Amino acid sequence: MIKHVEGSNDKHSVFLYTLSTCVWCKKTKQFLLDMGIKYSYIDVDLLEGAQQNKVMSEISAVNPQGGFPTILIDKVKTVVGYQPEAIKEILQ
Amino acid sequence: MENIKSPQELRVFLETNAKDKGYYLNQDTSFVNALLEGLIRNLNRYGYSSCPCRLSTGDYALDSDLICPCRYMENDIQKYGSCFCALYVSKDVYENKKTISSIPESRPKEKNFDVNYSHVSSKTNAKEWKCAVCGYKYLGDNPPEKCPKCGASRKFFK
Repeated sequence: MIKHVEGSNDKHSVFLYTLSTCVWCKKTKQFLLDMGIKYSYIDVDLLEGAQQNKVMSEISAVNPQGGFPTILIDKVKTVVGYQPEAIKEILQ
Repeated sequence: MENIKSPQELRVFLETNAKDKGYYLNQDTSFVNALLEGLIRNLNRYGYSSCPCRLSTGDYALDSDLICPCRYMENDIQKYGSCFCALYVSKDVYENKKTISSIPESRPKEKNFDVNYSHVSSKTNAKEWKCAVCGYKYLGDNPPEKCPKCGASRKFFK
């Protein structure tokens, strides 16, 4: 379910809530990969039933409007959408 | 939509539909192809090509606002120059090759998290407005400032 992507930069915890079909999600994953940032993600559309509901509740707690990707950095900072500059700034 | 099976067929369908409404598909072909794959995946698993950038429930009544082109598309293009996925862009963005980025989500949060709750009514306020000048049909809560196709002002929308 949760997939891990290795990277040389593991100073921060970076977690992505994504959809397998969403292109802004794909771009965000690619950006993190290019930056060598270690991250984990979960494709919410591939989950079912109670599992999906549970993950959606997690998202609504950090991003009340909803939307993918929702990126949670160090478990406290939320970035929504493909925002390379914002991510760079937080991770610096 | 029943006859559409490949991303190529879907592309032709969406492009024709977009041009008909005065909009364009994103010039970035690989970006568009990735979205087409997502739409086809949704078509195959849900039975309708709902927005690849949002979570569908699999319940047609709940997801009907998300079927591409979604009911937020025209409002978002007016406001940001592109739809949420950046599949559709405005004439201005297309012709002037403007850079597009991720835009805020216009879909109400209650609908985004509908999957969580006991499926509240999925009725929306969007209605179809028709331009009295050129016959253009606009889907939104309110009529547009001006007609995307012929430029007639808001007062001509009924």
